[in-house]
Amino acid sequence: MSEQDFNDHLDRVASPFMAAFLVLFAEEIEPRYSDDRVSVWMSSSKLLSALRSYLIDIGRMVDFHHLKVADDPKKATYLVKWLLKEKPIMYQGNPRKEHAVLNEIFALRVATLILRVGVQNIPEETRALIIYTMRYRHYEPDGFLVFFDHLWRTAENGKPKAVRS
Amino acid sequence: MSDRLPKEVEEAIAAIPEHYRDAVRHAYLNQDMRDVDAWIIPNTSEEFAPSDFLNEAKKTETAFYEALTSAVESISSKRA
Repeated sequence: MSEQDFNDHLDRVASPFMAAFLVLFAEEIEPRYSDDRVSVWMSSSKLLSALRSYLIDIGRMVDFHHLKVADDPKKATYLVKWLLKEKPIMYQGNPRKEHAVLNEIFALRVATLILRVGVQNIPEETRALIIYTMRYRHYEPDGFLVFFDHLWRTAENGKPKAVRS
Repeated sequence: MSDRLPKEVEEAIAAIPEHYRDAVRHAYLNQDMRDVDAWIIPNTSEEFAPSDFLNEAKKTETAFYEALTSAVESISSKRA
C-alpha cells in the first residue's frame, strides 16, 4: 500500500469517529459551554489529526502484541491520549472556570462511552483526580489502561463486550 | 459513490447545528456505510459504529455532566 493509499484509507477509517465526535460535541458540549460571553468550537483539523494518530498508535500496539483486536480499555486509553495531545476543543471570549478543562471533560466522556460505564461508578473524589491529572499532570497511557480496564471489568451497567483477542 | 445520503442520516444531520452539518455529511460520504470492511483498518480490526456510540450517549448525557459538576468545581478551587 502506497503512503497516499494508506493516508486515504486512514481518513476513511477515521471518518466515522469524526462524525460521531462532532455530533457528540455539537449536542453536549456546545449547548452547555457556549453562550454570548464565550464561544466554544471544535477544530475539525485537530480532531482529524488526533484520530489519525490514534489509529496509527493503536495499530502499532496491536501489531506488536500480535492481537486480533484492541479491547475497549485500550481503545479508550489511546483515544484519550490523542484527544489530550491535540486538544481539539477551543474557546475565546470570557471563559468560566470549567472552560479550562473542556478537553479533559470531553476525553473522559468519550472514554466512558467506549467503556460503556457510568461516571457514577467512579467515586466523586476520583472523578476530580482524573480531570486534574489529565489537565495538569502527565497523562501516562499504561497507568490509565489499568484504571480503564478495572472500570470496564467491574462495570455495573453491563458486561464488557467479549474480547476476541 | 452517490452524494445522496439515506433519509435517516439526512434527518440526523438536520438535527445538529448548521455549522457542523457539512463536516458530518463529508464524514459520512467518505466511507461506504454498507461495506463492513470499510470500518476495519488493516492489522487492527478496529471497529467503530457511530450510531451505537451516539445512542449510548443519549442515555447517559445528563447523568455524566451532573456527576462532573462538583469535580470540576473542586479542581477550580484548588487552582484558584
